[in-house]
Amino acid sequence: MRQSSLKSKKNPPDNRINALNSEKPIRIAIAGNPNAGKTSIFNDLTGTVQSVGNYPGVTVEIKKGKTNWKGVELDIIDLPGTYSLMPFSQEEIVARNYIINEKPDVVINVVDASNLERNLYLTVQLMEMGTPLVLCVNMIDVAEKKGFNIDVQKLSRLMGIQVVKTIGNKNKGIDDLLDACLEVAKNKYIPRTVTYGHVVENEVMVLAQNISDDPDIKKELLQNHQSRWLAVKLIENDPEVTNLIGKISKNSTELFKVVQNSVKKIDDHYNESTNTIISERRYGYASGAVKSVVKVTETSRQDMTNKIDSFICNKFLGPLILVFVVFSLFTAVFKISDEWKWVFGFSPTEVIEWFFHGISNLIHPLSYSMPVLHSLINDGIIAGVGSVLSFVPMIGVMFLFIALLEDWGYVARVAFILDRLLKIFGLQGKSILALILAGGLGAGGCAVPGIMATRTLREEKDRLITILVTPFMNCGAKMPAYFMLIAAFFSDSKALMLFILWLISWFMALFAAIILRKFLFKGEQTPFIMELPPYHTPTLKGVLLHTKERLWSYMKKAGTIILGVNLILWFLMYFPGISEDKLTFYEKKIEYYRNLSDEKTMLSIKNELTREKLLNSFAGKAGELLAPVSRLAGFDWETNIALIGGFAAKEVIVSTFGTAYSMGRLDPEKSENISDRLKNDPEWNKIKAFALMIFILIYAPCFATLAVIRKETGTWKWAAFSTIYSTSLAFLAAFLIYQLGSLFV
Amino acid sequence: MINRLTSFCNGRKRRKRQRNRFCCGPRTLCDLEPGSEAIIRKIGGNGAIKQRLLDLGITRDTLIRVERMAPLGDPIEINVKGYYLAIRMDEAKFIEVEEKPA
Repeated sequence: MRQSSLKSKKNPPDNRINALNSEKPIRIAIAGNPNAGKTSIFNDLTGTVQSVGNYPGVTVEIKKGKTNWKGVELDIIDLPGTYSLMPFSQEEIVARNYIINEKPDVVINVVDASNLERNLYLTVQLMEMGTPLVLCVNMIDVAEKKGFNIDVQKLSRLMGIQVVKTIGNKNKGIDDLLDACLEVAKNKYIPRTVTYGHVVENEVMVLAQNISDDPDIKKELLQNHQSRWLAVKLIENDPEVTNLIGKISKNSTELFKVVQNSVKKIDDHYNESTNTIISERRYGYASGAVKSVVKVTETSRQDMTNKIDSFICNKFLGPLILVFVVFSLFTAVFKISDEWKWVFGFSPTEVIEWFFHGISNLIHPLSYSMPVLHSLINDGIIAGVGSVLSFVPMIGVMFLFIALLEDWGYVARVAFILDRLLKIFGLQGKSILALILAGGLGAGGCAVPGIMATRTLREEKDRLITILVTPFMNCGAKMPAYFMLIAAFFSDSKALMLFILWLISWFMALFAAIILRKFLFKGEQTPFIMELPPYHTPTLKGVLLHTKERLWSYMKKAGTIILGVNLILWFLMYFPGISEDKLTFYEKKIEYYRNLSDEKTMLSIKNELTREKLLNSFAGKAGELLAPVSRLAGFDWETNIALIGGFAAKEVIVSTFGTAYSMGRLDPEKSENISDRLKNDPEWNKIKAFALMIFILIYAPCFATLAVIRKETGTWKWAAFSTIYSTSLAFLAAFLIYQLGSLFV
Repeated sequence: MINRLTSFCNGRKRRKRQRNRFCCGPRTLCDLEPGSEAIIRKIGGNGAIKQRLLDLGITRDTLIRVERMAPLGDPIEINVKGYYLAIRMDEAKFIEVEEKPA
């Protein structure tokens, strides 16, 4: 490691660096392969001053942070992990465009010291772009344990860039890294040029000359790009650069002719495609560098990762371990957050629910003086914020465990083991995590953490399909509605009914996946080539930061959207309400029976009032309006309102059912009353109930889920699509069940 | 009895290999048994897949080792340039190799 850092840390900052102080903050971008330890370097550099945002228009996340080093402000941005800068995935496009358009003062390229050759392939491409570069050789301790001895001075001389050794998860070498960044920012070192052998070089030179001579390109592109880089990109047939030049240059057809000619010359000379030659040359450069700077002192052919894999990916043990891990994860998420009462005798979820219950009681006096305001605060805001925050413990625990498994390296193995099975349905290995978290084990779950877990899927099509089928799983919130209907009509075969519903949910998800793959995401399946990263012991700090960051972004975004939606729903169920005369009439009636101390009659009148109010609200009107259509599937207007309420959250179905059937507000956990009532209602029967259960299973995801779909896909388009396709499917299924069932009974 | 069982298993294995040969053409990555090593000779496939393979270090004249198969026989885990990759048979068939004698 460089010696300077210890000294300069104690000494006051020197004048040269102070001179930089007056200028703008230095912008540093961190680039590197996935699994090279970029995130830990970023965390070391920025501490806790971070923010997470989505890059505009895509789902790729970028993290930003600030720090101060020797009096100089540094803005640090963590680019997505990529293996290459060819624009074939969103990550690659984002990383590349950031470097091209934003022109950071320094790019830190984090490389895994134990896997130098493949990591340097990206470095070569970064050097080629002509950005000021600092090479951060990370996880040097692991490499040294494996017997790799890396001569960084030699590497620095060889490539013409600053090279620093670091151990990201132990916060070592960070001072050196910051020093190197300041130096590079000040002196603007330009890396050495990588050459491709004389045949390619000749063509590159000719093309570069042509590019420099083109007035349009000169005006638009040459301030930001080197003509050599553009030439190489054109020869490589880089779609982005080719399109760009096609757009801005009038003489592009001529230029492209020159390119075609060059490509043909190279192809003919090597009898191999130009891309192959260029990639091979880059790897040649990387492996040459590795050969001259890395001394291998001891060789251990069987490394630790391979040993662990021989258990975890074993034909027989692998699936067993997987089932055990998934089951533990699933149990832990729900036990720790909701079932174990470990916070002063309550579960974390209960604590949050009780907190909001407390506030609700606190403002109760308002209900007499200002009923509208009270209802707005109580049913609109508190219910909305409460429903978001009550998910937080569950999601927090899940993120914690997923972060642990991810940082350790297990998620990639899960995908490896299950890929073949899910490929049949047009999904891929990592989809299973989402489906299970959303309730795939049949014991309740939640689509919100499920959809968030799809972040580990890198392939965009596979990820979208997984997101769209995940809501079919039986989440915990659908359970109360099932329990209500099962208790009323299928009380002699409860377990069997739940089992059937579980089977149907899996059938629907896999069936929908096949259909979506066939019709919507046609074309060739995304190639599945995935690195199985070496196992690393996760650090507490890394896992906690990871969890905190994801949790916070959930609370912020989903929170605002869900709150808004709840307010709308409140408005729809409260207004326009019943006329003043009718209200006074009911109030007088209630007063009368209260004076008579006839509790029972008073309550039933109160419930009648609630029902009357609901029927006269917009939601009630909508329920009535939909009745002619919904009756085809057997649903009356009361059911419609409940189902509309279920759009907000599936728990609402039972409580709205209660209101609509003039039962007053029901506790969703205790559905016996409404069950008895439904049982005795001549309008209801088993077929109607079964059709309703299937409808609830399939129809539109709740707003929390939609908000997450919106967040994860980046557009409302998919949230809207999800609502429409699942609701139509649900209606079709319920219609068929009701109509066919009625024929036989 | 045991002999018959073994020969049945071997027969199955052979048939499986023949089937792979048939669908992937001769000497590609999907013909290799777990544990065997080979030298990459040619990368086929179209633009995106080929570029992805090249970017991950699957270049000509590189030594490649098949570590193991997934429990259901696909994908396979390979070691190339000192790191591990999972790759589906669909993609493995684009990689032409020359088997190294054990």
